[in-house]
Order: sequence, then C-alpha cells, then structure tokens
Amino acid sequence: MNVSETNKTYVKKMRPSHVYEGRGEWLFQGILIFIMVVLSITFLYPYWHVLVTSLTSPDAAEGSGFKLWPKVFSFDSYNQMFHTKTLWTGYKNTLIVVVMGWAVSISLNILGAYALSKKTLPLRGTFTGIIILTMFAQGGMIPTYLVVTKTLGMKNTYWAVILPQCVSVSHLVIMRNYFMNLPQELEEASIIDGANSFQVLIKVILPLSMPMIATISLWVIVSNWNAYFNCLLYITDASKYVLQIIMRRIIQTDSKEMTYAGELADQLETDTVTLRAASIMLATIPIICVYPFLQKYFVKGVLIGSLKG
Amino acid sequence: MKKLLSLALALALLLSVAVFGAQAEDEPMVIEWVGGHDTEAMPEDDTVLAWLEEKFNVKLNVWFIERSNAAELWAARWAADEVPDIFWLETTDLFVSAVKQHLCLELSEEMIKEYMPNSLEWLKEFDPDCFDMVSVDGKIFGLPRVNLDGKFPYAPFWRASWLEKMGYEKGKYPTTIEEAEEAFYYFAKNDPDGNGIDDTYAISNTGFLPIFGAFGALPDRWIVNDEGDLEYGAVYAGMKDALELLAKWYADGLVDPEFVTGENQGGHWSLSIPFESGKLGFSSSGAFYQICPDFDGPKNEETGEGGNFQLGKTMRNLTFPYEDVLIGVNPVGPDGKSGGEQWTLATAEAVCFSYKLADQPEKLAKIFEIVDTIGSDYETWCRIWNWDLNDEAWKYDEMTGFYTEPGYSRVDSGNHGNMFNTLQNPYFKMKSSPALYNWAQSMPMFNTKGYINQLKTVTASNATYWSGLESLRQGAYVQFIRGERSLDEWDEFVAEWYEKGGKIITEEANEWYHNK
Repeated sequence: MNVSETNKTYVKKMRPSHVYEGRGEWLFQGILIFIMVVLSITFLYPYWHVLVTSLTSPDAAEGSGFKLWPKVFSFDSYNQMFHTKTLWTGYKNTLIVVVMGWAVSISLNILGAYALSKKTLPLRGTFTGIIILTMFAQGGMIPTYLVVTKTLGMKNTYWAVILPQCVSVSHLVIMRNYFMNLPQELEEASIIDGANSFQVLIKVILPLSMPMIATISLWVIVSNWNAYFNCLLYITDASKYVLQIIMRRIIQTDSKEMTYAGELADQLETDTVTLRAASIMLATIPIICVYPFLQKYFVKGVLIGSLKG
Repeated sequence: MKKLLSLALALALLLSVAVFGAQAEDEPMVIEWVGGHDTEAMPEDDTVLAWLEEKFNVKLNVWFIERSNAAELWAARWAADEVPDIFWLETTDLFVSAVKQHLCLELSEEMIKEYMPNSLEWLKEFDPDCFDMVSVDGKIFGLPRVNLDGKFPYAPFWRASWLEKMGYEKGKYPTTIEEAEEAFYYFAKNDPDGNGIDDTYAISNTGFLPIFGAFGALPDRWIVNDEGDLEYGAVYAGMKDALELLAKWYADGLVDPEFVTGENQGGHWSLSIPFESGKLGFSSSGAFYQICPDFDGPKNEETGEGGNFQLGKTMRNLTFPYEDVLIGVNPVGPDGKSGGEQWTLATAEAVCFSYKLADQPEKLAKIFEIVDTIGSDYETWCRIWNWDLNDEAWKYDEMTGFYTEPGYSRVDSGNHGNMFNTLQNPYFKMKSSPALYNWAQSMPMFNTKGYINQLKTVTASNATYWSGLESLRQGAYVQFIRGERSLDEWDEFVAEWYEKGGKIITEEANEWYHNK
C-alpha cells in the first residue's frame, strides 16, 4: 500500500458528512430535513401559541384559531402575575425544594449506587433485590402518609416533599450500572497512589460520570420542579406551597357547580385565558433554562482523557 | 459561675412568668375548620379570618383541601385520624365514605333546631327535603347545602334578527316544536345572515335539550314516569320520537355536524363557539346568569373603572350585538310537555362535624353558632366576602347590589368567603345581587319547571355500571341522530341498556325513591 493510497482512504474517511453525493442523496436529505422541520414546528407551535396568548391584551385573546403574533401586544397578564404575592412565595419554595431535593437526591443516589456497584459488598444481591422490589410493590399512599406524618413527624416541612422520593430505584440502577462499567484499572491506579474510597469516588469516579449525573440531575430537578401532589398532601401551611400549586389555582377551570364566588369570578374574569397562558410560561421558562447548562455534559464523551485505548 | 447561675435562675423565673401569664389569659377555642371550600390556602394575614376569630373569640385553623384531589387527600388524613371539627364534602361518595368510617357526628333535627334555629328556618322554607341528601339510613350526618341557581331552569336563546327576517315580530319567538321546526328550516336553508354562503345551522348539542324536553325527559336525568317510578331519561319512550325528529333534521342539514364534539370547544364551559360566531340560530348553552344582560354598576367615567357585572359569560364574545339575542321558552311538544335542564335545589354536598365533638358540647355549640350567624345574619354574611359598608372600597346600590368604588380593584382584596359560607344562604345571595335575580325572576322562562335529576343519591351498583352505561347512551344517541343507526333499533338499544346494568341501577333507584 503506498502513501497516496493511505491518504486517499484517510481523506474519504474524514470527508465531512454534509457533503452529499448524487441527486438521490440530496432528495433523501431534503425529505428528512422537511420531516424534521414539520415535526419541530408541531412541537413548538403549542408553546408558541401559549406565549403569544400570554402577550396578547386580555380583550383580544378570547376565541379560537391559530395565533402567530399577538393581535394587541400587552404585558398586562405578566404584570398582574408579578403583583401576585403568592407567586413569589411559590418560586421561593420551589427553589428550596429543587435545590435541596437535588442535593439530597444526587448524593444519596451516588452513595447507594457506588456501594452497590462493588462486587465486594457483602449481601450485594440481597440489597439490590430489596431495592428493586420497591419498583413493583409499593406501600401505597396512606401508609406512606402515616409514616411521613406520624412516625417521622415531617408534616408541614420541606422534607416531607423531598425525602419520600429522593431515591428513585430507576436512577439508582442506572447509576449502579454506569459505575460498574467504568474500568476497574482507574480505581486501582488511584488506590496505588494512596487514595481512599471516598477520594476514589470524588476525584476519579464522579468526574468520569458527569454525563450520567447531568442526565439524572435533570430528571431529579424537573420532577422536583413539578412537585405537586406531595406538597398538597403533606403541607398545609400556605407559606410553604410550591409554585405548581399556586399556578394550578390560576389555571383551574370553573366547575359547573356554581357557588357564589364562582359566579363572582365569572363576572370578574375577563382575562383568565391570558393569565393562564402567562402562568404556564412563568412555570416553565425557569426549568427550560436549565437545559442549556446541562447540555454540554451530554455531548462530551465518557472516557475522554482518562485512558488511552 | 455564680453569675451564670443567677442568670439562669432569673431566666427560669422570667420564663415561668411568661408561661403562666399566657395561661392566665382567656385562650380562644381552637377550631379545625373546613366549613367550605377554596381555590387556594387561606393566607395567614387574611382580614376576614382575623375578623371572624375576634368576633367569635376562636382560633380557626383553616385547612386547604384541593377539590380535584379531595378523595385522596381525605383518605390519607382520615386514615391518620386527622378529622377537622367541621368539614365540607363535595360529593355523595365522600360523604357516604366518611359516614361509614364513623367520622361524622350524628345530628338530629332537634339538635339542629336548638343549635342553629335561624338557619334551619330558611333551609326548611327553601327546600323542605334538603336533609335527604345528608342522611344515611334515615339518620342525619351533616348539614345540607342548597343552591339558589337551582331555582331557575335553563332557557334557550335565539338569533333575534334571523327570526325577524323570517317574519316574527320583534320580541316574539317560536313556542312550540312545530314553530321551532319551521324556524330551524328557515335558519339552515334561507341564508339568514345574508352573506350568500350556505354556512348557517339551526341547532347543535345544547339546543337538543329543549327538544328532548318537549318529549318528556332529558337523556341524562332521572325522571318520574307515568307509573310513578324513577326511569332514566335516556331509555324513556318519548326520547325515540325526539331522536326521530333530530335525525330528520340532521339529514336535512339543520344540525351543525360538529355537534358530536359539542358547541363548547374549550374555555369556559358555557361558551358556544358556533353561536357566538354567528353560525347557529338556536342554543341553550349556559344558565340564566351566563346569558344575562349587562347590569354594570356605576363606573368612573374617566377611567372606566369600577362597576361589577358584565354580560353573562356565554354572551361575552358575540360577534354581533347582545340585542340580537332573544331568550325564549323551552318549546312545547306534541303532548304539551316542555322544559330544559335544571339543577337541584339541595346539592350533593354535605357539611359534617367530627365524631370527636360528641364529648365536647361547648365546642360543638360554638361551631354551630358561627355557622348559624353567617347563615342567617346578613351583615356578618356580607363581611365574609369582605364587603363592609363602612369600608370606602364598597358601595351598595339598590340595582346592582355591592360594587367597588372606582379605583379599587376587587380582585386584589382576595376573597376567601367560600370557606366560611357554610350554608350558602340563597336569600342573601339574592339580596346582594338584586339586579341579576330581579331580572331572573322577571323573566317567565326562568320561572317554569325544568328537568331536575330525580335520583338524588348514589346507588350501590353505580360505580360498577354507570360509566359503561353512559358511553353506551352517548354512542347510541349520536348514531341515531346521524342516521348511522335506524330508530327501528330503539328497542334493542333500550334492552341493551337495561341488560348492561341499567336494570340493577333502576331497581336500586326505585328502592331508594319509594323508601325515602
């Protein structure tokens, strides 16, 4: 094999993927792009619709049909939302639950998964089995409620929302499997260098696990952000309600059994459509903002820079 | 060291004084309160709450039970023996479940008469049967809730200009099924909106109800039939004739083909999209207060702020003036029957008292006192809505009732009155919105009899069969109207309905009805 030939194969290999050959290829790519664009629009439009509605003046918002641009532009709904005191309480509480919940959840999951990933752990199979069993058989709502409120005495605390679900079996299993797939040699190398188990975990294992931790963090954050029912169940103190409960009140539709205030609301309610839209935007924008920050971890390879294969 | 010891001693002394001092004061009675409902938790600094606590010298711990999750939330709390002193339950299911778990204090009429004499009087006057809904096996386990809006049946409304084009005098409308049919054909065939396009229809799903009513029942209500037994409207013989008529109208293009998904396409349940957009000439979407005119109170002329009422919800998005809407009567059928939808006077809701109050008569009396005062003293009742005649934000007007002074926003004041409006006195409601209720009382169509659901309990087999029976009914009715199924198969439909559980439920319903 001469040099030029090797070069040729090299060039062919390295050819950027967007250089297409032949008309068929162009057509194929064109169709793919078209389908993806249509799909993306289908996914984006509902969100856009809500955004546009939230920015429309209340009088112009009612009625059905496509909305591409606000008929009458107005920040009224956001203004009204921002003047709702409870909204800020909700943001505060949700933030506490999300941050604390994330910290507790990730640390417990990592510790648990790392221990279970070690073949030397005594009774490893039994522990794993017990943990996995809870995926299929759960205590149910009422016993859980009794444990959380009566035994643990956590009613009306943030812990009641955070602790009962801070370790999810699926997250734990995913983490465990991930840790098990990391090359044993890495740990051995650091142990030879004098690292103890904690140092191995923190300095070697965790940096290598960032993509997985980022993914699970995202799940944990999103699920804590959306926390709703547990808060309703365990928390009776209005000053500890999370955002979703407060938003829910605004979005709630009227029930048919009209009561006096219902009817009053009927009379007053000129702008719920836009208010609802604004509340949906306010409840989703912060969590959407988390994605770009975690995105970078998804792209990076797992073992970059650790071992030369 | 000595210094530290003396400091500790001094602190201990101070503390004990503080503790004794607090005990010496007249501690208000603590009441765990769910005497109504709310859309959000009661803020701690709520002015109405503070006012009530001071007035009755109590401490009210108001619980928030989210209505849509009420069943689960109650189940958990009841299991943990967390039972509030007074609790409102929205459905018969919840009520029966609480009674079966022995959580509700058994009440007697003598007891109610003794503890809340004033409210009992008007309750009996408004609906003598109101305790039926809160009784299990003849024993009373709660206070009933009545609904003023159940007094006024639904009435259909027409496009006035379309009727006038047809030759009706101003303010006149069809009153019989024959006249209505004639108008319907005109609406669908003669281009009443004059735009040169055949795009108008006469009737859609809510408009069907007055038509069914003209034949003696509504498909989704229990009626008392000619034999004096309860019978479900869907299988009542008269419905076959109504369906035949509707199927004929559908075949002739009078019925909006979108009736299957309904006139309401999102938004408030009383909205009729085809009517408001001028496609439909006849509808019955919405109760009287959703189709009422604008009774707006005095406004600030410069800013336009203030006032109270607006057009009824159904009428708010009309693409034509409200003057073009004519509220009519439910047309009379061949046998002289007529009527539309009507809600019951006593609702399925119940207000229960904790079983723990059995040996706390003082507390029970206190709770009854609060309920009775709010239920029968108009001034107190106004105050729970934050309406205070001494407050500069509120004004009272003979015509509109309470309204906000321009410059004050009613929404901002926060309104948790529902939480304390335990008995929902309908007479107070009427008094506070005179314009609306005077209007409703002045309109003859709202003072007739509609079809009220006569089965006012949940039967034992309901959970097993009812949802299946309802989808059977809905499917069959749509097929009959669209002509996909011939009405020759009516008897088969009725037989199937009875066979799939209708028979058992009808038997249970009649057992309840004849023994109540």
